[in-house]
Amino acid sequence: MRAIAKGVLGAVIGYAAGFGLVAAAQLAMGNPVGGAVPVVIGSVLATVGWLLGVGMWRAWAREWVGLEPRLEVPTGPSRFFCFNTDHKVIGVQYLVTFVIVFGLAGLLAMVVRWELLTPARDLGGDAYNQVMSLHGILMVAVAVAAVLGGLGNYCVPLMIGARDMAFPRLNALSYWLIPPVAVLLLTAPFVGGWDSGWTAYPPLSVVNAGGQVLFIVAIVIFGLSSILGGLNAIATILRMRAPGMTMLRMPIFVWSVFAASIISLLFTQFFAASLILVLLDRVAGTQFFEAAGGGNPLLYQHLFWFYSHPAVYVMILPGFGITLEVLAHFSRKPLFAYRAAVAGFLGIVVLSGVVWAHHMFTSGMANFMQIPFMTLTELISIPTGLVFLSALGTIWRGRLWLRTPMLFALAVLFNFAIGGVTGIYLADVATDIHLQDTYFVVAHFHYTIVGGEIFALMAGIYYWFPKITGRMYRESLGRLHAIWMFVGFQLVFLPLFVAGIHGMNRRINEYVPALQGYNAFASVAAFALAAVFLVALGNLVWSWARGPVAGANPWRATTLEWTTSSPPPPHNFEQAPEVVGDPYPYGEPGVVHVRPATVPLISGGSE
Amino acid sequence: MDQTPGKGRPRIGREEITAGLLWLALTATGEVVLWNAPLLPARYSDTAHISDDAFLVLTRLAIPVFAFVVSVLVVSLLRFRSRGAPKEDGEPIRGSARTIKTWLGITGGLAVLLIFYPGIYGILELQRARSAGMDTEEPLVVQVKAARWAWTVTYPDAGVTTGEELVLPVDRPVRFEVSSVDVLHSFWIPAFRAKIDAVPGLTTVTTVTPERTGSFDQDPLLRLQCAELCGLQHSQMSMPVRVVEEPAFEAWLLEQGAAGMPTCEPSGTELRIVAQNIAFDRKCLAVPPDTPFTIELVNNDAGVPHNLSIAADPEWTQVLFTGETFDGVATRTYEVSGLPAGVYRFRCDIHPIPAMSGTFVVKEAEGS
Repeated sequence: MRAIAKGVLGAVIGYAAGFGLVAAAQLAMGNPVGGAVPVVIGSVLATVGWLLGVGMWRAWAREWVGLEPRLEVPTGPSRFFCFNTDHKVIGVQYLVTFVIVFGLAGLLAMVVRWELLTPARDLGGDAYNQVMSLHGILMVAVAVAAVLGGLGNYCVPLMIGARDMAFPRLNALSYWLIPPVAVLLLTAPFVGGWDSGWTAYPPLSVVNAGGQVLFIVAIVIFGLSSILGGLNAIATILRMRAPGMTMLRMPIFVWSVFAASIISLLFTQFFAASLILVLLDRVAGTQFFEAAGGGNPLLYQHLFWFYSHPAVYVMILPGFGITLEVLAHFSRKPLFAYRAAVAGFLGIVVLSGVVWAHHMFTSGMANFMQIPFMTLTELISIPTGLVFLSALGTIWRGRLWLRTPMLFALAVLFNFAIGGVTGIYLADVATDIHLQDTYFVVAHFHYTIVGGEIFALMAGIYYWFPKITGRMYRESLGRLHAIWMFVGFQLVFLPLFVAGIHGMNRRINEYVPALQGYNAFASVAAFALAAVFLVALGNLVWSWARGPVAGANPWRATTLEWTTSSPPPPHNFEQAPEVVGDPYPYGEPGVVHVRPATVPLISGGSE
Repeated sequence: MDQTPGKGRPRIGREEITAGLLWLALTATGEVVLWNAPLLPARYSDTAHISDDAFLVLTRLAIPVFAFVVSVLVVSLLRFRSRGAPKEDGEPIRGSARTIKTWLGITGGLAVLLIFYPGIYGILELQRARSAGMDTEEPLVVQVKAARWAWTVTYPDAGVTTGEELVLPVDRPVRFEVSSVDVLHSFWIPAFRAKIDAVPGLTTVTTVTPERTGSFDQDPLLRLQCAELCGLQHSQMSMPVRVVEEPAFEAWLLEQGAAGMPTCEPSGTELRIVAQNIAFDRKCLAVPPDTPFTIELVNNDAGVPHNLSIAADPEWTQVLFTGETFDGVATRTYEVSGLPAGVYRFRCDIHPIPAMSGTFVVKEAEGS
């Protein structure tokens, strides 16, 4: 906790220095003191101060001035509250942080559903737009970083037999960039907030309240974290694999992290770039998006979606990875068509970069562009289909063990079938012109991202919970969570498809009374859905402290992370593992993934 | 082990047959339900038919795809579930090259089908609808101007501008020329399934032929709704739409054109007018002729630009005075040199809607 206190002190000093320097310059030149520039510089220096205080100075920056770095970290619970380079600590830091963010953003969703219970407006002023915008960006952050940063960090080195990530200090930096992002986004409402949604389209984002500036700084910092995280994962997967762990012997989750990280590394910069242009329009008098000055608002949309469409695959690919991983182990079968699933991931990566303008069919861009972008978008159904082939083929004729992770993984298949199929309606121009910017879109992306990725995140949390904590969660409550969340989720979002078709547009707090039925139903269901997370949180927190000891391999799974103790020792493996075969050698006597000599005694499954 | 990787043909056993039958039953049920269920709301235009036809084709194709996933899941859950921890492993089926090729053939074929029909076919149909009628008859041009947070529609041929409602004749192509004065908005009429963004600096165009009469009071789909987040009152940026027979439309236009020019008497040379909630507080201003005068414009709309200009004709080609535009909350005083006697018009150039327009009377004060 001392590290956190030092970080906060560093942030305060940094903010004061940044704000003060600019204010002094303004004063010296006779300009009015204040505005966006001192806030931007203050926020950037506050982030630097925070990082140095929280441990970058000790562990890293001392080196830059010729001093010995101090790499020792505390043990016990305080190891989670400092600049720790252990990938397992960082994974837990990410997971816990984003569970908290998920809870906050979920509460905001409750405000949204409460407002939409009735057609009339309940919240005054700009409050609804700000709540909706904050819900959006916080959930986007959860979707981008919870699986990759949390489970990716924790599991990938274990699954490929590495001692840590390729760049441990960079990894810690990626995590410690996150708290400033959260603070900036959550303090934005105190400086007027921002009301332009997570998409922040100009000209609105150029002329709205000052909270928009904090949003921009936050996203640029978050983007830096994503890029560094992606770089680290790629380097780790390419260079740190155990002897014998060829690319095609990697567990499928590792492949999905690899694929998603390529997108993070290549595309995130475009979101930051587009927002920096907005910032320049706001503070430096440029006119990139100001039509009167020769600018063009459509420029932003092209740049923005050039990242933000691939970003949805940053979210869903690791979700697919967890789903396939869990399906194979809990069907006790080899992953069906493993190479096809890998090809599906990589095909999605390639196509993800050339489909962005399907978000812009009604934007006023040239009509002929509709044809190529519709075509390319619909082609994504082919690699996605390969992932489904692998999933359905894996459970077929398996021995399905319906534990909590498996229930969530099966739910992903159902949900993503709906999410994927409804995506076609939005890729098809004739239907998209009507459905664009309606609740059909809202329901579609909740089915893909929540129904796909967040359900997979839940599967992953329950699946690796015994590995991470060394203890087993309570199964009955886990199953209750899975079934309740599955049913509740359908009840919230299925009616919203219909509301969208019948004329409910997005991002409104007042609607025609004819649409109340769908909305009231979805709102009540949403309150019921939210309640299940209290049960889940209680179960996981209690089990972490008091649950029964799980043993090294409670699922009798075959991949490397289950060959070491739970939780694993600091350097992951007592002996360097040697990989000799396929990761899912179920039902094939004599075939093993890891050379048996290196495998410690396996403890049996529970139940 | 009855299969080795990469070889062999899939076995057809009891479960495969069960899943196949379930798939057929689910698909058939889905298609029959779709045939009878009113999934889509009422259609009021040619474009609505194109969009809804595509929607139905996609749904017909989606049903067997979704039914396939559900069938595999249901049969797996019923037949392959293990009571307690599995004692043994499943069959190590890894999928043959033949299976992958067959799957790729089916999914690839479906994707290509979707791309051409309803995909490209629908785009071309929409394009045809946009140019439809243009060869045979002149489309009715309606200029739609978006400003935070109100729509203004202008019928340039009739010289009519209104912010109250969008009235259209049935069975005649309407060419909407959409523009925005501030941020992005989006022109959306759910009853027409028509949507196009209003982009500052750009005039976007969409053409629709209304096919049915109706009004917002009867069907809330008949409204012009802003579909792109535009700030504070985005939700309220909506205007009723009414589709009427041609004679009723002509009558409405005449009525709008003649809609009373209010009148008033001059008293002094210092005018004051307040702009609040995108409306002026006065419908008529008056000054004596050939005498310099001042207009104090009080703009009470925070962050919203207004100005005041005076012209001699409704098309605003003979502009007599244009005041500087400025954001509220603020007040400016314009100094105007004398005008010859006559009845003119004034308006806010940013929001040339009825609520921000009026009569400008220049004449001798009575009794002088």
